[in-house]
Amino acid sequence: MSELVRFGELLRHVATFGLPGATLAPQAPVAPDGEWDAVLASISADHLTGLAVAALEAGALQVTEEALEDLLARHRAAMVAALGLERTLLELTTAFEDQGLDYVVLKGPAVAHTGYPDPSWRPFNDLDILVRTGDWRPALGLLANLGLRRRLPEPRPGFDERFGKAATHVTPDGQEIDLHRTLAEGPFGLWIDPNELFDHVTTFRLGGRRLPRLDDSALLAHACVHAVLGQSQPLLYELRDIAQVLAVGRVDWELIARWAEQWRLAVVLEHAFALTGKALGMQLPHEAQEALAMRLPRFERRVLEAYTTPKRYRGAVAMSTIGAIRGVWHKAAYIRALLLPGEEFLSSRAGNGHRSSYLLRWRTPIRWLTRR
Amino acid sequence: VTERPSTPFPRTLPARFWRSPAALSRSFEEEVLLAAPGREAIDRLSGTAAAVWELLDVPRTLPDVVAALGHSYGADSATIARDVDGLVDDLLARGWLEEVIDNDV
Repeated sequence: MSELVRFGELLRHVATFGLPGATLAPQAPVAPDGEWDAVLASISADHLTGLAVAALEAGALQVTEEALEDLLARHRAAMVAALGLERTLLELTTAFEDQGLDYVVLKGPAVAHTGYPDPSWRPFNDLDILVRTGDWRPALGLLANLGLRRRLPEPRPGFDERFGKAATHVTPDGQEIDLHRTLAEGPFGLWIDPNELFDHVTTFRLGGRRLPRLDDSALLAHACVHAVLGQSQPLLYELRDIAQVLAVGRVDWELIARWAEQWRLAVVLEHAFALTGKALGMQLPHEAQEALAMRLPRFERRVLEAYTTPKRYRGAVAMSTIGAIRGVWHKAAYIRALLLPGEEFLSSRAGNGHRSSYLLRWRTPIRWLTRR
Repeated sequence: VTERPSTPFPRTLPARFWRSPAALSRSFEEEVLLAAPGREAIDRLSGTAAAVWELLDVPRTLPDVVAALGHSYGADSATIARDVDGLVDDLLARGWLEEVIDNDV
């Protein structure tokens, strides 16, 4: 077995620890000689330190004393970060409630405290809070009043509510808070009805309070959307989230089937389940197969490719979005925001000390045109 | 004339303690990290302190805690009781533990 295969096997072994229904070998592959630093870096990057520590405690993973100390140090740092974020979450959500703003806690803390047997199994390094589109401006104002800085301004006034997914904010301590309006960028973000998500909310306990989170069906849909559309290749912890909800969640498969059709999510769900089954050796529940037993539309397949192939980094998601926006004026507004964003957006996008110009911004669309 | 029912003498029950619901915590590999809103520091418990924290996920009296630790560690009860007293006082003072009022559970 090559070093690379053993490396991948080891990561997958960690990623499936304690997962009901996983069918990977019970015997842990040994970390390749002298490769522990690289393995540990991947475990950390994949948010798997909690599963690795739990696997060690259960005797399902063996490492040297030195490697154990490294792993514990990384996991301790990850847990300190998670606790700091939970502290911030309690403060922020109190402020949201005081202002009468509806919100839902997404991902990290919501998944860690409900899907997993122990929250320490699921590190996270930011917070994600969904608000209603109608509450978007008051929520932005509230975060600004609390001293949070928005990382990137919206390209043009009103872009967020019409086309945006989320706005990343940073606390004075450097914690990252994503304020969400919907679950995905681009076409799928436009097809999802974010207001309906507020009809599928339950709660989880944190710090003596009950905070709203998506119910298991919506949690599963979001986990799939995030894993497949968040970047071109999902990380293992994102697939583990899907597997975890599939294994322990109470999923309403009729609802999932409806969203697959109405929100055009069938290709996303199918892709997410296929990746999860392959990476984690998990047998999918037959309900999942039944819910997606439809012909997957070719158009959505092409749109999915814009997210999951290298075309993503050449503006394919933006191009697909133009196709998905209804109405000429809305399309024009989107194109205008992308091509002629405000000066503040342009300079923020360029970063400190870098040049900002429309010509630099137009490089990608010019490349599209010159290739044709 | 209706006779009032006699009030029984109040029984003095030993105090019971548990984790403060407001505490945010993470436990792994025999250590516990604790945080709370409005508190800058994150506390780290290890050894006996972490074991006491784990035991107090449900309300227990100090003698119950001492007995459980004595069973696990096989150490002298008097020594454990002294340690546990000090630890619980400290964790109460820091707000990580609370004394249980009967309505709490």
